[in-house]
Amino acid sequence: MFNQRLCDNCGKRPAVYYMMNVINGVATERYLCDECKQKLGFVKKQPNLDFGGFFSAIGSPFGAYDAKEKHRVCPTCGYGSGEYRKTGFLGCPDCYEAFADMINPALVRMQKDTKHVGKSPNEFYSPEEAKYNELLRQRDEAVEKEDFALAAKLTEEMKQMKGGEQK
Amino acid sequence: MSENGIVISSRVRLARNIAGLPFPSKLDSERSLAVTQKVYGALGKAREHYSIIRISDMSDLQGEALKEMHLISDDLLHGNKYAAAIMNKSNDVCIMVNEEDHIREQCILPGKKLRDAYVKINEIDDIISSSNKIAFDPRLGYLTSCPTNVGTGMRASALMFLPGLSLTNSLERCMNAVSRFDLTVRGEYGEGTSSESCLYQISNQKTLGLSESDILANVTAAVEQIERNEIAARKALLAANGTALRDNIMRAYGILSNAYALSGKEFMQRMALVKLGIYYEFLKCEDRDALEKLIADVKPASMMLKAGKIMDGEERDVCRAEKVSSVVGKVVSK
Repeated sequence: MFNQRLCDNCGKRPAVYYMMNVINGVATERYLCDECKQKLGFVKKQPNLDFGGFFSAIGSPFGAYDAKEKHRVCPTCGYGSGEYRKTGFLGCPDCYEAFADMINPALVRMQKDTKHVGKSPNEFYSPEEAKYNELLRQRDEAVEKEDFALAAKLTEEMKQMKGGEQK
Repeated sequence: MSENGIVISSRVRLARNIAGLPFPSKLDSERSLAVTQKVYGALGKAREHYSIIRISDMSDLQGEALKEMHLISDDLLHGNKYAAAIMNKSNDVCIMVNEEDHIREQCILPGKKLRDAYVKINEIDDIISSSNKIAFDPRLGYLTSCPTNVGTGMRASALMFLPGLSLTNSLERCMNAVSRFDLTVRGEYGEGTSSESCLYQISNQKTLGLSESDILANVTAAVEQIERNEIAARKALLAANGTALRDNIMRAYGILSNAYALSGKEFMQRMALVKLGIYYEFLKCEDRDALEKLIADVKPASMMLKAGKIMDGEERDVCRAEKVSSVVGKVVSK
């Protein structure tokens, strides 16, 4: 009564894995056998997995590879931009800032928006930290609106806050 | 399980990281242990008691059994060696420490209860966040090891039993109808199961630019629409091929009640039909939760862990058939 469907990739072995993504109104469906599922990178073997095959199948969600691009490292953890391109994973929270130019275009493609609108742990931050975060958010907004005078003013305020903390 | 047995379980997962530390794949042993202690320490303030199992202390069988129960992931078992799982007594809350992110908080509840699952895990999240500084950016939200989870760090999913849509080959059409919600639909059938189990997991695709309430509302709306389509497909299936369908269901019931040996694949295939038979009221089952529990209990590692010994494939098939007949035997034909 059940028809055994064959793998979309090899067309030979029976499919044991089904996946459908509906992104921006377009549905893509895949039936894969175990072997092709592994070959295309749908199985994670270790945290630092190689997404090479997977990306060749679906495009490059974390940014297109540019041969002229310089290899950079995150100043906090030493993680390399090349590693991010290869695996899709980051080394530490500061990598988001270090590789912002690579991550942000990918977020535009992958996510609903590039601005967080949900829960924040701010209620557990000190009033100073919460204020600093708010200034940072306002500065990002000013940069986006190309109001550089306001952005510079906010940056100065943030610097003063940081300087104040160090004293 | 929901009244009609279509939504089997609801799960909400939140990904979090401790500020100022590299993500688990780059974390040294000393700091990995410190993360575990910080998270477990924070749970002392929780209303329920939590126990911790470190991956290094876990037997292979125990690890596989927890994976079969969807409480822990393959990444947790084979990644950072200082990883751990923290669980409450009822096993509906499980916190994975040092998996892909430092903290993966998840709550799984039976039936269509996404909002309840979120409320429960959000409370745990508040407790953990109150004693730990969480990596958070005002613009990007919760910072995660992979940018696919950044923002809310939230994945809300429902495990659905969809034999009507599978047998009428209308799953794709149904998914197109719910395409305004950005979703991922997965049918995963590891060892001991097969595509004939008709089980699909529906989850949100995006985590940034939507609030937690938006995600819950989207997944719930999609699940409810798929549920309505599944009911319509089941009606169509019965109308088109009632005799053959009932015959197949009753044969499956006969085999599950009497077989001496059952492979995992055959069990899942026939079980899908028996569950469909209960829905059509060809069969009467007083305790449907026992049927769902049976599906988890006859997976290879869970079965061997309970038996306290390693069994080969043949032994497992005999053991599975015995367990299945004792539960399905209580289902009566009408």
